[in-house]
Amino acid sequence: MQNISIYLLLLIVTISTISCKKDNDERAYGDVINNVTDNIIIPTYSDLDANADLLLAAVTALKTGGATEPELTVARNAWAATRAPWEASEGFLFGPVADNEIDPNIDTWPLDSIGVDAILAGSDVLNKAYVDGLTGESGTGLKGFHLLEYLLWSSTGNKTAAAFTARELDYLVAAAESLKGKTSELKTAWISSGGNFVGQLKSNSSRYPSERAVLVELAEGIRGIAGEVFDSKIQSTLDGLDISLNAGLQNEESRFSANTKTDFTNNINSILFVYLGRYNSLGTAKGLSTVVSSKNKDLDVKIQLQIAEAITAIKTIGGSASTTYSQALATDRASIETAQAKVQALETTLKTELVPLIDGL
Amino acid sequence: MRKVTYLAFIILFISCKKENVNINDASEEFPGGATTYKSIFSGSFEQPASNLNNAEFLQHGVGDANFSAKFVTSPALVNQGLGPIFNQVSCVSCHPKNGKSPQPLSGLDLKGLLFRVSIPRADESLGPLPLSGFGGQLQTKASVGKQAEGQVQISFEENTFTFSDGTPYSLRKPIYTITSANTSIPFNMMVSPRIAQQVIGLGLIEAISEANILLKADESDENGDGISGKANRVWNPVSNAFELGRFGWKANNATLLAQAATALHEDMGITSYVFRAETTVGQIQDNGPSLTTDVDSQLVIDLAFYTQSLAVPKRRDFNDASVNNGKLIFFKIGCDKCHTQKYVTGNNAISFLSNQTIYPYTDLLLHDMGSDLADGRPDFLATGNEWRTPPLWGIGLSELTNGHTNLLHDGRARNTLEAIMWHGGEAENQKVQVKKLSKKEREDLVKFVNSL
Repeated sequence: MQNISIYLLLLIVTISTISCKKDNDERAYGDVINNVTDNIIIPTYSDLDANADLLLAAVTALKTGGATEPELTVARNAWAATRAPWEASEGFLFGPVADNEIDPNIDTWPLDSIGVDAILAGSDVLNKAYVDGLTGESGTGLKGFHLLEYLLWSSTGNKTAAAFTARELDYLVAAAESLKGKTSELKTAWISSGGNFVGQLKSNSSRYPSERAVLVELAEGIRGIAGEVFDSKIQSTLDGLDISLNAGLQNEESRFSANTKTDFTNNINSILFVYLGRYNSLGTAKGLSTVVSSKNKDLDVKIQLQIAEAITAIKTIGGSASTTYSQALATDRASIETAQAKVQALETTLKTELVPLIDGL
Repeated sequence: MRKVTYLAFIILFISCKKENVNINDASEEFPGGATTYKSIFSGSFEQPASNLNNAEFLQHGVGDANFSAKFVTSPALVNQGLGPIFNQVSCVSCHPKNGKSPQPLSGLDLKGLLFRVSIPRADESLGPLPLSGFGGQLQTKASVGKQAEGQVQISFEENTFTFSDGTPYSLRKPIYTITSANTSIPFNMMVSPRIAQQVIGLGLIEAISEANILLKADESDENGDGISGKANRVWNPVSNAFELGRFGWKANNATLLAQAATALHEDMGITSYVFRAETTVGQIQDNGPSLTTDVDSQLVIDLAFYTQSLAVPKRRDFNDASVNNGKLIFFKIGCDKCHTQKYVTGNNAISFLSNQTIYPYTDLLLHDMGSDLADGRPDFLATGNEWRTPPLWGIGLSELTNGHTNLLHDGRARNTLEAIMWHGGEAENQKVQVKKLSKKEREDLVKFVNSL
């Protein structure tokens, strides 16, 4: 009898220990976090880095032995292919990309075109070290995606291969090398064999003391890019348009390459990927949707619908897929406002329903 | 059997009871009152106050765009006015994600660190005396074709100490040398390194009544606790009057409007209705007076509004037993004598800041922090040994928001414990008490501070 009592006591003490175990120690959504990091975030950064390598090769070919039109086309395509995973990473702008100031070093807008022209007119030796040295953000308007875009397309978008000067080609290669350095740094900082930032998400860390903290970060991340697209990227062009078409165009990021609609589409794609847990052919479909659908099926349906509507509205800005954002600014402001409203509706849902749901886990 | 079962249930009950030790106040879950933002993530310092109306939300958005805008050399159609000399190109360059800048490890990239300079004057209460060729701040960058005022080299000196329990600790002292100066440096030039601070909750600090702040001032230490606490009175370039200083490492700015106009002007070379002349004035490379300013008054007002309307993130771990033990230690040691826990803001013209119960953990007063931290450069009523007590809210989120845990006026402390151990002067007694704590007590104290 006595023995049984002691066993019972031990059992109950054990139960009490288990029942008091903090939810921090258990990972009910570990598969979501593992999938989003391993199959979405890291592959996005890997694609970015691999494509930056191809971009470097393409501009090197352009520089070598005189620039030709086919080489220019390859280089422009390589720029767009590198741009795509970058824009699709803007739904998770936390960790090394922010801590190590990668974002401003590769994607500062607007471009300091006066400064760029002065460098081109000067005699500084243009190599990777020089472009890397354009730091502290005072130099970031002189490098990165938009510098490359400006050199590849010019401000009017119709540059020919014959128009490239030797210094432009030097600057182009140096800037592509510098970009490649940053994308490599970013990928390395995340992977487990490198800086292992991913490890801080997969198990409790001082930054993310619980899985809930990680899920809130992911939810706020996709909420953040939806906000950025409607209230900054699109709104700034409309604010400009209120003054003049030219001012509207000045605020349009990626207009030299007519890539603006693709940028925005990829931004919303990053929401789609994290939410559904799939990145192109990768992923187990364990995403934030998995968490939401287990708690509130209607909300899950609503978010998926709003993501799809936002993407469609962005793609059809100007009435068709082939109309550029610049053309739409000139002729079809209403279509831009429609797309903006769709993205805003999505952001509102993410802010007022998704984030509180995740925060309340 | 029955007894044993009862005992077991009691154990079950006790072990599940939540620790809820409240010292002097409630959980402080919402340190920014109704402005508090309710989820914690890497963007926690970038959220608009939770109680803005539609119009306020929109103005906040406009300010936000300007706060993150990269300014460029004039003439340009967008964001023109940078330079001719400057420290950084945008507000967020120094305040990444609205947080603190890390201590730069090399002068090649100073991040959010800048250097105020001046020469001594008979009456320092009039403010730092700018000097020829440098003005009041060293601008380390220049637009193409212009010359920066100088560069800075940084080296470090590690000094090791031990806690009473024998555990060693080390403090890193930065040593700055100005190099490549554009003009000769006078022998009596005084230099004050200042790192960019987080910008959350500033509107609430502005909304604390002056009387409430002065209540804590004890300049001649009449209560004999070894801690004085002095209010700074500083020149406000917007109102053109001397006013109570609240912002900046030495409480050297009176209002957020003055702070915004000064930062635009000194840090970015952007002229406005408050400062019409470029910071190159008096230098050979100056372009001379201009009839226009780089930005209009609305931009300065929007920027100030943005900093007024940022939320304070909610507090974490307020039910954690070690955090609450740390809180007990914090108050027992007397950290709260300067890091004042709580205020209720007054009636304010900005309604979302009015009558909020807030927990900033600062008295906004100047204290002698000892010779090891001293910059030796007076700033209005602040002596070369005095610094303003910085608010502690948000302090534990820096790793999440900014990837570092650097603290103090130039970011020299690598974490909260180091920052505590840098305390001297009026806080010498508190530091000595921390030195005597056990390892567990030290950790709890740090846990508490980092929960804010």
